[in-house]
Amino acid sequence: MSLLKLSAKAQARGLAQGDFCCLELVNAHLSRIEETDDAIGAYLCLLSDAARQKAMALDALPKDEKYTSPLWGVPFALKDNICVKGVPTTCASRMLEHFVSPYDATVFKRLDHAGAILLGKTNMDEFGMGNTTATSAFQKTVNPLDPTRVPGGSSGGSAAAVAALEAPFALGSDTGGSVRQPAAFCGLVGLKPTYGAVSRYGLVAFASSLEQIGPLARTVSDCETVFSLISGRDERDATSRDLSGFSNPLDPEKGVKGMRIGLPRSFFDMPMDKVVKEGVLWAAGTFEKLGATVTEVNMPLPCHALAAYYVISSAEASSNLARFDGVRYGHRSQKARNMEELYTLSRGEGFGWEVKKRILFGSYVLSKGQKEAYYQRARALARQISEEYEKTFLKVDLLLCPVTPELPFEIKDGGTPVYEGDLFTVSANLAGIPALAMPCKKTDAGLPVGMQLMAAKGREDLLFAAARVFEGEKIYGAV
Amino acid sequence: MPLQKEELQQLAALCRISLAGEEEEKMCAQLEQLCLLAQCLSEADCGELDALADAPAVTREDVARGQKDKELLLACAPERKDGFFFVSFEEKEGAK
Repeated sequence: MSLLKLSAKAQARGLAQGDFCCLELVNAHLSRIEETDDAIGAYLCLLSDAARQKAMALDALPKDEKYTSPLWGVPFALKDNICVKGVPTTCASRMLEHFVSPYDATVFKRLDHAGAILLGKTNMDEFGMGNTTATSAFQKTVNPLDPTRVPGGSSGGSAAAVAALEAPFALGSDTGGSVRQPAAFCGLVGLKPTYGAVSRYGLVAFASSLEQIGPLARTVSDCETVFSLISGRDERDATSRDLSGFSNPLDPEKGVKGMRIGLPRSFFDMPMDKVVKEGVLWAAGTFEKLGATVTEVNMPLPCHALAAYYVISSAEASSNLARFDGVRYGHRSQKARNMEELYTLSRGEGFGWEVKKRILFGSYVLSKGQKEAYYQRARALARQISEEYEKTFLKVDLLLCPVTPELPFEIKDGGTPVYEGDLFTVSANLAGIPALAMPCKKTDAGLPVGMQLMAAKGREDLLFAAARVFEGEKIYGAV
Repeated sequence: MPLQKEELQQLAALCRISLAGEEEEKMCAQLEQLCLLAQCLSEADCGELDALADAPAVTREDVARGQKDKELLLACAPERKDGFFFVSFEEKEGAK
């Protein structure tokens, strides 16, 4: 247990100091998964043999070839929409139940080359559509902090694995909050990077203009380290780029002294749990005490952003998921008598309810007669929101707001996502800016209250700097 | 405006998605909820609607690269034959 409680970087240090070897570390995590994951349901696919083999290979290397990165020898988990060659990538959908990826995602390659060890693939909402992980076609995942509650989603399996000490860090993908919301619900640090900061090559596409792969970890430093390893230009993703801003020019001694933090008034005017509002405002007060200047700022209404998000993401999903036709890969209906039936039955049988709904809605908002009222207005609004955020970040360094309007809620039957749960997270995706979620307070019942920090494009360094200072205060009791 | 069943059937046909008859009513109602959520777009000041006109085109050079392993790609298909993806309806009753 003591090994498992170490942060990812502390595990790497333990390896370098010879306190334990890679195989011991991997075995410790696999034993933990065996003990707890029947109840948690974080993993869809476990790669025990491959993980042990890689651990033994790393242990056998000569000393001068070891410890080549800050996460060398450290195990991790991947959301099951990120491809690894020869390994199933199901997106938690019957459509891809038997799909084995023929290539590696860039993020996996980068972590693999850095010496990190993949333990397995984690559960998620089907194709990333949901915020409870309940739309998975295969299993339920529960919140390790309270098994009667949802872990959030769509990267709920990744969050649950890290929170349950079944992995020291994991990758998720964030299209409208899918890294940040489960991070907040499970008491973790989660980052949605600047659009283009991390290659999407090998990520099964849901809404290409909005999504980014991001890390979930138990400490800010781990989150930052994983981000530094997976980010950067990749010629296989034309939207990826190097971040000139990510050079950490900040003086670590300075902390948040002199930092300008904005509280978006329109966010705090929205209905939300009292305890969430109080928690985030308390965090604002703490930043102020630490030397930051906190002021209210005017921002676009989050409910307008939410509408634009659901229109754009569904429109893009209807196009991206057109490729699943039962011919080249994916589920094929055995009842089809002609090509038309092959398409319609394969897609009808393969996709779950929520995915079908989003595809239909996406086609509706793109259809003749509706496109101007929905899709074009949503695109125009997204552009306006992006411009508003750019202007705001000339006045403040960071924005501080809640991650979600509510605490992790109880698991209900049905699995229909709570669309309003994405109210505070979707703006960062529409604007393409980085946003970090972390716990700021605990309720009396031990549930985490999440706060969200947002910064200008390419300024993940500011997010990490402020988050580190907050975490360093040991207010929440970080691991 | 409520979504009519006929509209849904047309959409489903365009999306190549089969829906059972009893699912149609539930889907109509849930799509209606999404439409209601999106309706506030009509209240928002969205500015110029032609938002895609100035979107920069990010492209890479169209250069042939090393091909992926053909066998590996074919292995993903539900059916394959002689190095091709394969679709057959011969054994199904009422084949057209």
